[in-house]
Amino acid sequence: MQIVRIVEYSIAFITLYFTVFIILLYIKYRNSVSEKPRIDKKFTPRLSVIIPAFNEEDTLEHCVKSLVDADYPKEELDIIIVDDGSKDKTYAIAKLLSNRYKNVRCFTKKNEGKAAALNYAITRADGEIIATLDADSFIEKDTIWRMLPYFKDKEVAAVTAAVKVNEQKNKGKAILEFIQKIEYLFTLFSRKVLVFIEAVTVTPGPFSMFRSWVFKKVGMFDTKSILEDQEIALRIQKHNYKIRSSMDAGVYTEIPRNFNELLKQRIRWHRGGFHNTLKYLSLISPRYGDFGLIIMPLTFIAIITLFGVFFVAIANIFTQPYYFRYLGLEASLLSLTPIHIVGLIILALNVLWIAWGLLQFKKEKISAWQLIIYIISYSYLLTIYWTAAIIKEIKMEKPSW
Amino acid sequence: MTSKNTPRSFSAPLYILAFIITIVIFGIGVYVGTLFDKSNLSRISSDVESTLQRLESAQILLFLDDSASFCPVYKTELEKLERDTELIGHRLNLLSDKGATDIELKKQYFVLEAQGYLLSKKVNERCNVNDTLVLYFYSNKNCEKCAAQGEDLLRSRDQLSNSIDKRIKFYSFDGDLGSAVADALKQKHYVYEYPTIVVNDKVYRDYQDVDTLVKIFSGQSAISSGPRTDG
Repeated sequence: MQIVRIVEYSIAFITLYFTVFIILLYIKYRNSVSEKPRIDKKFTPRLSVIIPAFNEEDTLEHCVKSLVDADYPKEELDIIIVDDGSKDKTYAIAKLLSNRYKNVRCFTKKNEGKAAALNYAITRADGEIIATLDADSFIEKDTIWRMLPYFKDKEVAAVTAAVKVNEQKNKGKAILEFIQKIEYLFTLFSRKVLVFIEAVTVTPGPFSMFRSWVFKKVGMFDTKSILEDQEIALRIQKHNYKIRSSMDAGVYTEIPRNFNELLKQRIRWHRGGFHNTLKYLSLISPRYGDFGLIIMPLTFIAIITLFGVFFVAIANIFTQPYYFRYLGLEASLLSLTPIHIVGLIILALNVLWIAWGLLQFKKEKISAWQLIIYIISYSYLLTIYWTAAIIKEIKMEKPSW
Repeated sequence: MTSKNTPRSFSAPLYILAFIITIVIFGIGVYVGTLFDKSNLSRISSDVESTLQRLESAQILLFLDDSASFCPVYKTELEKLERDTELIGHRLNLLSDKGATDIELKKQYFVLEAQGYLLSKKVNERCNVNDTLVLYFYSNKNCEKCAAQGEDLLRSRDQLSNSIDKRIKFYSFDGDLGSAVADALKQKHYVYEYPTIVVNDKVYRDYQDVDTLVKIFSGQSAISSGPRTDG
């Protein structure tokens, strides 16, 4: 089937090209990746931290306490909790916290989603810098100090934190936990590299900071998007403002602990990402430099590539059933084409990329076995996430949290 | 105080370098893939040669002893040979489907099949065996239904595997490859279009679906579409 061959070769070439490009990018900027701006404790802009909360009675207090305990002048720190119509004790806890701490305020509103809750608080925030913090996350003592220096560059509109997994008592031994831990670290590294071509595409919900005027210039969070943290980042990119990424300003976030929860989360991410990509197709343009010529097309092509891979796999199932029946495993070996060789090389390059990434986080204890399991399982997990997301899209089910 | 809009840049040297490296890696992939295919074809060629030798040995045995006492030996040896021949055929087809063909090897394979067919005919007669021998003529150049016909032949055999007690053996030949053996068999059975099936010397032209094949192989349908070939 000629068309199958053409699709296979095209996918392989594009994937290989982008992999090589990103690796060359890292090689070019490798000395700058681990650079950190100097902490300046004299630079203390007023900071409003917004915590949108929906049914977060278990984690809200810990989240707020991490802010209260943060090493930052209390008089310049404004903490705003917005209860988004919770059904549990979230608002009661928020009120207790606002009574306990002078710089904590709380509000309650009807449930309209995270973006609406964030926007509600933004209109009531008075900080020069506005941060968003998920109620199931907590920051380290010096996180704020590590992020603020990026704002000394007047062209920076937003800064992202180093989002890491909140490890449970068994310290990352559970498979789903360490897979996500490695994934988060690897994503952090990839995002840092993308900074060098002004191509950061998400300001993660767990903790990100924005200059207050960003919301006036580019608009508030999109209440229709289920991935509002990516949507606003793309909007910032559309306006040609800078986004920076810190690799050492830690924020620890809750992760799904079982496969169903994980799948639900990833369906939302992938569907949201797909909708955002379609919304911002106009970013695929030389007007946006490397971001418009390489990264945005890659985001779009990755989705098409996935469909292409499905097409090839299904076509092969229908065109070659008898070989596998009579030849068994030998059919797989005989079926190897140059594309498979290229695929192995792509895999090797990806392993190299992951290894470089994890070298940035030597303090994070990751064993060789955990890394092997991650590398083997990740593509299968990704396929499951995307398959489920595509099915939901085809069925036109309403996206939800 | 607002930030200035960021002037965008192009990493043109990186684009070019990435493109060059990609082409090189692709070239390596194609080269290694080609080497791998050559190695597989070489292995299959050895298999064809060794199977031919075994076949020739079985033929000599058959000619040396014309009694039926050696029938169990012939039948066992022939079954193994035919299984191996069929597997070689599947391997060659798989490689051919992905573009790795060796025409001379295929012609050699057809010689192997033809010898197997003739030996099976002799064993059928000598040992009173009722196996169904099917010649299948196809073309890879000019036959839309040939791929489907090949699969349907296998499907029909699978359907009949539990219901009849005789074996169905396939011998397939690409009629447009320029193989002397294939051309000779085509001439003998007046084959001029594809796909054409010859079942126990009865000719069936054009595509036959699975149901029709099942009837033919189980002896329910005696209507062939060509003249008797021994006339």
